[in-house]
Amino acid sequence: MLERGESRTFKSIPPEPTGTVRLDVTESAGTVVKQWFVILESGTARVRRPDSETPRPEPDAVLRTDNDTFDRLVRGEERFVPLFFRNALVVEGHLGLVHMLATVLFAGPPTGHHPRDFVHEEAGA
Amino acid sequence: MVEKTLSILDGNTFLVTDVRGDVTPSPGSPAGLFSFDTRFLSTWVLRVNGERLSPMSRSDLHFFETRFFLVPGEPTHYVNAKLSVIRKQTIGICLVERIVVLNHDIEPADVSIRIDADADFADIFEVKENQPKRGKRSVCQEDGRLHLHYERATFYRDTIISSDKPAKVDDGGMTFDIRLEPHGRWDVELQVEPIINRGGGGSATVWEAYRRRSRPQVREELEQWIDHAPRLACDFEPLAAAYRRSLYDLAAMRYSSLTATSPIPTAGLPWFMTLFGRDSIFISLQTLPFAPTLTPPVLRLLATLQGSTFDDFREEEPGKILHEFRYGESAAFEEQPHTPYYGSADASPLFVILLDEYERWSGDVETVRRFEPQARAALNWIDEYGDLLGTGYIYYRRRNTRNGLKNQCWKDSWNSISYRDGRLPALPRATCELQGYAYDAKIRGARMAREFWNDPEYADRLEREAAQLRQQFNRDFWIEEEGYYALALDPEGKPVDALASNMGHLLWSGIVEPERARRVADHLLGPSLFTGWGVRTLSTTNLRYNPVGYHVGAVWPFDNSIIAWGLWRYGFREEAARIADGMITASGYFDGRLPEAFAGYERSLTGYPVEYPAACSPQGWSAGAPLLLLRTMLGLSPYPDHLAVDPYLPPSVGRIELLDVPGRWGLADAFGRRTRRHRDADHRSEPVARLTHGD
Repeated sequence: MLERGESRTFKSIPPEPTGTVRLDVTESAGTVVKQWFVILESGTARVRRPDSETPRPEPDAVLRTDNDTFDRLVRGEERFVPLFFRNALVVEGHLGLVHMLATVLFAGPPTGHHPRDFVHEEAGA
Repeated sequence: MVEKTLSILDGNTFLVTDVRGDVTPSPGSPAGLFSFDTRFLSTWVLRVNGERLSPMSRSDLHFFETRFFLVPGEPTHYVNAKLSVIRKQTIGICLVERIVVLNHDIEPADVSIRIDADADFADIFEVKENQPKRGKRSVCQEDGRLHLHYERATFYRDTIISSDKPAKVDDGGMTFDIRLEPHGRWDVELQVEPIINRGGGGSATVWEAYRRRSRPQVREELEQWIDHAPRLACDFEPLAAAYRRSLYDLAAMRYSSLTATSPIPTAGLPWFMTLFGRDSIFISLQTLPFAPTLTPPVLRLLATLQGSTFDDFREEEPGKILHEFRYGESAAFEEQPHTPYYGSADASPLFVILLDEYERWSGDVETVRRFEPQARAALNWIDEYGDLLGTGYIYYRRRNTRNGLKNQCWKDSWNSISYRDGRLPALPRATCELQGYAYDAKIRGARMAREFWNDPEYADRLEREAAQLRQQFNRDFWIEEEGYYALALDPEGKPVDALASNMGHLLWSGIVEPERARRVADHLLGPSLFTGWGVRTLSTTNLRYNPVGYHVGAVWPFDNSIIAWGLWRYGFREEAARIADGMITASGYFDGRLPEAFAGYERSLTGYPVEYPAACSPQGWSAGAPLLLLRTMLGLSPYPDHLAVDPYLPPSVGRIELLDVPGRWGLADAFGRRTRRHRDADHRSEPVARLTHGD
């Protein structure tokens, strides 16, 4: 999805900030089990899994979280900012970049309403 | 009786003490050391030989520093102390307290100096609502330091207290047993460090980096800030004092967010020391002619945090500009929705208005181009999500029924929007000023689309929509027999007929038909709204009017500054000057510092303005008010190549010189004198229509 320049929230990926975010997803014990590099650049995103062939890019920021939390973020059951504030995920480096990536990548809760729908439902209730 | 408190601050880190520099636990009251919405010290009491101290005098050196001169024991008629104590408290990343003990006796003295210290790590909302903690507190001593710790799951807060002289440390504080020679002196420096989500040695987390990085040094910038602001000379001392006070307070009340590189204005001490969309935008609007550098970081942070999805708890929608951002435990654990909370129906159009107004002053086209996507998203929000009923008006109705705001306009208390007979309208509600902001945002959006975004079609569309809105607004909100605009529309589209200050904002937005402006102005300055100091939030003719009601009778300096701006726009110069005169005179009773609000009593009844109980002071947009009033008195307007000046001064002010007003013209001077024309005009107030943007 990201590769195609799409976002679950915005019409397109904002042109700034730019940089590389390393996503570290850990098991509950803390071992990193999955790792991606997301390179955000002038409205595009490239996702890379690390391999032995190419050198790993130097990230501008690291987002580290466990498997469960990551899944809940993806499903919209948790939001990035409160998780970050209660230290349930860790950010190193450029916070603005990680925040942008999280905004592009993670939509709101599945229960979220369009406000007009909400008003209609309440009026009908 | 509320005990007098003192506060010093550095951004969103601040200390509130009593008059001797102590903090004693007091439920529901915001005493102590706070940072990022958490209380890191809830007890801080100095004793000498077991006795509390009594204040003799103090000097408030700067907004970040206070010095207390104290003697041990209760004050008696005949004080003949053999010891005295000087405490100097300074706030920055840490709280630093220097204690000096002086022996005035000819004998040596053995003295025990004791500081009691504790931290309850209360979230600011727990303080407000007096709620217990859910996590675990612990205390330990390490290397002569007192370490207070709080944790709840992975959420950590720590306070570390250390001294530069050896102390006897216990769980409740530290003691220094000293011997003072005759006429001797002893001193110690204590340091209190608040720590958020401590990561342990060498951790590179954002929290640790924030703690270590040299923040924009607000206090070192202070001189530069004052130096860059226009210099004011005038013959009315309260105006000079209010201007000075405002500049200092605005400088002090900026904080460095975790991502922002430049400081952002906070809303008010002690309850609102954080980012609010509406407040930061109004502060920026008020201060543009004086401190234009305040605005770009506000635009940047609000743009970064612009809504992108649907979230009922946070009342988030795509394109919506946030209402309130909090960092504390209640936000982190989602007991409160402030991460961020989007429950305001005005911040999105106001964002567009600020972007346009900023360009008019600064000529900074680059910024207008850069925030084009966010401005378009905010404009889209008005029609797609703000227009709840599809009637062309911004309505609001909270989706967060647990702790969302019932009223999502600037008067956001539960009872602020009522019919004249006191009934509360059903939801959703459309307050009048929201429609004015929407109109102005479209007019300004059209200008930016045409001049900077290279999209004339979009500009045409916005202008058509604005014209349509203006037409239907003047049909649906106007109450002809009373001669004013209704406070709001109810869900059926019927007018909520209370007479309120909100329609002053309509003048500012330019949505008022010129032939109706005179009647609106007469209401605003009439006896039921105007106290003699300023315009009440709600007129005395409404059943819910209460002179000490927050949004139902109190007078808000911020509100009055916008009303004066609106009166100026429609050419009611004498009326605008009368409000400026009332406000500036009132500020003289508060050492130049206008509080958040004061009571709506008639000026002739009390003779002095009565501060609203529990008002925030300093308050950001109250500090901004004297600046905007100065702008309206001098009649400043930005033009591409020059600053236009068209003064109209009230009777109390004979002369104003404002030197080095920054803007796209470089620096320009503005002079105003009260002339005979003004004196004559005071008696026959026939307005001259003013051509400004949008007309």
